[in-house]
Order: sequence, then structure tokens, then C-alpha cells
Amino acid sequence: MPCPVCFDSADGNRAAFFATTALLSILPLAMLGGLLIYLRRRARTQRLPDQTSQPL
Amino acid sequence: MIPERRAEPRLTRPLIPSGVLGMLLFIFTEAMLFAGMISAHAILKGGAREWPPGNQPRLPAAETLLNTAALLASGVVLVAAHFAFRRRPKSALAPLAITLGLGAFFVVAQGREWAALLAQGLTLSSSPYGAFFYLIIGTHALHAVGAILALGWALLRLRRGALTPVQLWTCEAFWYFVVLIWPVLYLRVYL
Repeated sequence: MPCPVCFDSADGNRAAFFATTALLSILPLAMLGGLLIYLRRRARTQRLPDQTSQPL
Repeated sequence: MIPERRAEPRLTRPLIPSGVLGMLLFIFTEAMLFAGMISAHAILKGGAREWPPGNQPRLPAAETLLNTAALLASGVVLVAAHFAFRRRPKSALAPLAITLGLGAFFVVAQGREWAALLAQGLTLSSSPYGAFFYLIIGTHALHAVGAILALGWALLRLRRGALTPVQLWTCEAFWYFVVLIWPVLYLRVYL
């Protein structure tokens, strides 16, 4: 099946399209997700133990 | 009966220093810039009948291994500088200077390589092969120069005893990005 952008049915080109689509889709999610997970872990370790049981 | 609400636990200090967070966000955008360029390169390479083109000089992959080793070594020495700074700030002077020296060696060696390739006829307009090489590797070189300037600034402040840990971490993050993205570029562009 040819690529809809350049109409090239070469295997190498199709593989490149698949791989780069996956890279450009996953990379930003992985970077931001990784940062959020890291911040969440740091937040957990930094909480004061004596403040966790105080009622409002 | 209304259940008793509990207070949200407070944080003792910021989760991540503002400078480091800003640098990380900058690095994320730059990573996407490189990902875009690598993607375009991969698609062009995948669709080419002959890569590299027969009438173009080959990139000096073996010679560039020396530059690569120097750059990777600079990253390791910077890790040592980080821990030295935590023990005693002034003791990070030597490893930071070595990092700077290795980084400068990398940039100068890349410049010499470019001069040789230009003399052999590989230019921005000679072929897509040349255009992508200078675009991708040149963008990395610009980042390397920027990170060297940042590390030089950190070294000067450290000598004056004015460098804060956050300032060092921010400069470190930039240099680690320059170091860690290089093997990816080397594998994609040179090999």
C-alpha cells in the first residue's frame, strides 16, 4: 500500500513513516508523563508526616 | 454524619527549583525539534534509492568516534562535578573545567570535520544528504556552544564563590541534554 503523502510504496519509506509517527506521538507524552510522575513521587516524599492527620 | 475532612498535607519546599523546571521544559521543546529533524531525515533516507548518494563524500564516522568519546566523557566528569559540589563547592572547580575543555574539544573537532567535508564538496546545497547533515549536526553544535557558554558562566561564578546549587543543576541539565542526544544523532546521521 503506498504512503498517502508521497505515494511511495517502498518498504523502507513506509517503515520510516510508521517509526517516525510513533516517535513523534510518544515522545512528548513520555517526557511530560515522566516529569509528572517524578513530581508526584517527590511530593509524596516531601509531605510532613505530622500534618497528614490534622482535621480542618 | 458528615465525614471529617482532612487537611491537604503541605510541602516543605518546592518540588523542583524554578530554574531547573524552566530548563527541563526548554529541553523538552528542543528534544521535539531534534525528533522532527530525525524523522524527516529517516523518511528521506527510507525513500532514497541510494544512501548516501554515490557522488557525495562519506561522513567520517570512525574519526567522529573520538569526538563522541570526548563528549560522553565530559558528561561523566560533570556528574563527578555535581557530587564534588555537594561535598564542597570549590572542589567542583577542576571537574567543571575539565567538562568545559572536553566540550570545547568536541566543538573544535566538529568544526575541523566540517571544514574537511566542505573542501570535499559536501555542502548544504550539494544534496539532501549534505543539507540534513549540516542542519542536524549544526543545530546540535549550536546547542553545544550554548551549553559551553552556560558552563563557562557557572565556572566563573564558582570561582567567585557565588554559584548556587540550582544554577549549577540548570547548566548541568542543558549539558546532559547535549551529551545524551549526540549518540542518537551519530547513529542516525553518520551510520
